[in-house]
Amino acid sequence: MTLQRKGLAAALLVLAVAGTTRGAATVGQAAPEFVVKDQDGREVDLAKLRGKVVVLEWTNPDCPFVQRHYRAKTMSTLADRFKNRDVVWLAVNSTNYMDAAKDRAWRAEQGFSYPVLDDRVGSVGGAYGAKTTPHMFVIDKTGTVVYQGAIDDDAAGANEGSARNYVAEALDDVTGGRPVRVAETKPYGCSVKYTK
Amino acid sequence: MWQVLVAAVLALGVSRIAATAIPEPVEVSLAASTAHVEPGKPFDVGVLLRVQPGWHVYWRNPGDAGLPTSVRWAAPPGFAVSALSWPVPRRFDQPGGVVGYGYADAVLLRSTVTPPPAPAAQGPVALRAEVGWLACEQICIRGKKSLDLMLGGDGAAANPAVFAEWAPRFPLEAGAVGTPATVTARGGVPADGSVGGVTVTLDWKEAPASVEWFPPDDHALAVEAATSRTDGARTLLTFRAKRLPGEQLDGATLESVVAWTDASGKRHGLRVPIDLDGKET
Repeated sequence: MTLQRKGLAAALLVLAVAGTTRGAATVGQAAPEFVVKDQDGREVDLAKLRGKVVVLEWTNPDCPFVQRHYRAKTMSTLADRFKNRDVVWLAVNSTNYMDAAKDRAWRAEQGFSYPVLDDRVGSVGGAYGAKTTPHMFVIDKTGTVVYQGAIDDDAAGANEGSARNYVAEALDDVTGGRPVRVAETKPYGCSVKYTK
Repeated sequence: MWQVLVAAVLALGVSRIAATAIPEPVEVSLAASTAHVEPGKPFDVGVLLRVQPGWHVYWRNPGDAGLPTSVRWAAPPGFAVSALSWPVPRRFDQPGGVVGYGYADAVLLRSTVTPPPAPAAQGPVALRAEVGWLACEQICIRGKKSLDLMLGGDGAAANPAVFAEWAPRFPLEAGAVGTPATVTARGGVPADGSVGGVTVTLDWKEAPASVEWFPPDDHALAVEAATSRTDGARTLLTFRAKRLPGEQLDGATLESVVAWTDASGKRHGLRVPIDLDGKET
C-alpha cells in the first residue's frame, strides 16, 4: 500500500470512528488535504496542486440547481476563462448513490473537461463541511481557503445572465494578487446527499 | 380469459411507465375566508401545499440547503395583499449535518387582502397566485403552479374552516396580548461590514418543556452563528453576522420564529424580530 493510500485509509478510519463529526474549511486557514480518484480512476492529490489556485465545486447531476447551472454552462465557462491562469477546477460528487461510471457518463454528456472526484463515501465533503450542491471553495497558491459559499447571488435563478458571480470575483481577485473582496457567502442548492 | 391477460399486460406496461415518470410530490390549492368581497373589509387568502409522505418543502429560511417556498399574488387595482404569514416550521436533520427548515405533510401560506374602500365595478373579483417550491426527499424537484381564485360571483366558494384549522399553527406576535414571554434585544450588525451580534433574551412566564429557534437569513448577510440556549424560564438567542459588501438587505429587521412546547406537549410559535440596526428594546 502506498503512503498516500495508507493516509487516506487512516483518514477514513478516523472519520468512521468519529461518526458524524465533521470538519469545515475555514476562510483564512489551510484547505483540508485529500487524495481521491476522479471519474477515470486517476488519483487527484490536493497537496500536489500547491502553487496553483484550486476551485472545488460540490456537484450532483440529480439536483435542479446544478442542472440549471449546467444548462447555462456557468461552471465550464468560468473554468475555461481561468484555465490559463494556473487555476485548476475540480468537481466533487459526494452523492452517496452515485459512482465513477455515472460521473463519466454525465461529464461526457455535459461536455466539460475538468475532473469529477468520486466522493460517494463523503469524506472530502465531510472534511470541508460541504452542505449544498453547488457549494464552492477557492484555494489560493499557498493552500489557503480564500472563498467559500455560493456560486452567485441568485438562488432562485431569476436573474440568469446578470447574477453576481462570487467565484468569478474571487478568481479575479486572487489571480490579480488582491485580497478577495467577498470571502464568504451562504451557499445555496440541494443538500449534499451524504451516505447515512 | 384473453381479455383478462391483455388487461393485465396493459396494466403492467402502464405501471412501469408511471414508475419512471417524474414524481409530483406536491399538490397546491387556493383558499379564501369569504366568498363575498365587501369594500374596505379585509379577508384572508391562502395557498395550501399538500406534500407526499417522505417529502418536504421549505420555510422562508430554508436552512443550510433548499429554496424558500414562494407565492406572488396578483389582485385587481386598489386591492392590497399583505406579505405571507408562515406557520411554525419543523427542522429536518439530514446526513452530514445538513439542517433544513420547512414542512412535511402540508402548509398553508396565508395573506390578508384589503379591498378598496369604494366598490369598483360589480361582479366577481379575480386573484391569481404564482406558487414556486422545492420538494426534497432522496432527490429534489422544483415545482411551480399558477392558480386563480374567483370571489363574489355565482358559485364562488369560501373555506373558512381551513383558516380556523391552521390558525393555531401560526406564530404569535412578540408583543401580543397573552404573550408567553417578554422579549428584549441588544446589539446590531453594523453597516460597515464588520461582524456584529444581536442577543435576544426571552423571559418565559412558564418554563417551556422545549424551545427551538428558527433563525433568520438574508442574502446580503453572511451569518457566522445563530444559537439558542434555554435554562429554565430564560432563553438566550445569539445571532452573529456581517453585511456583505455591495448587497442590499431586504430589510433592517429580520423574521425569526421561536417554537416551544408546553407541559402538555403542544407546540406553539412566537415571532421574534431581529433588528440589525441595534435599537435596544
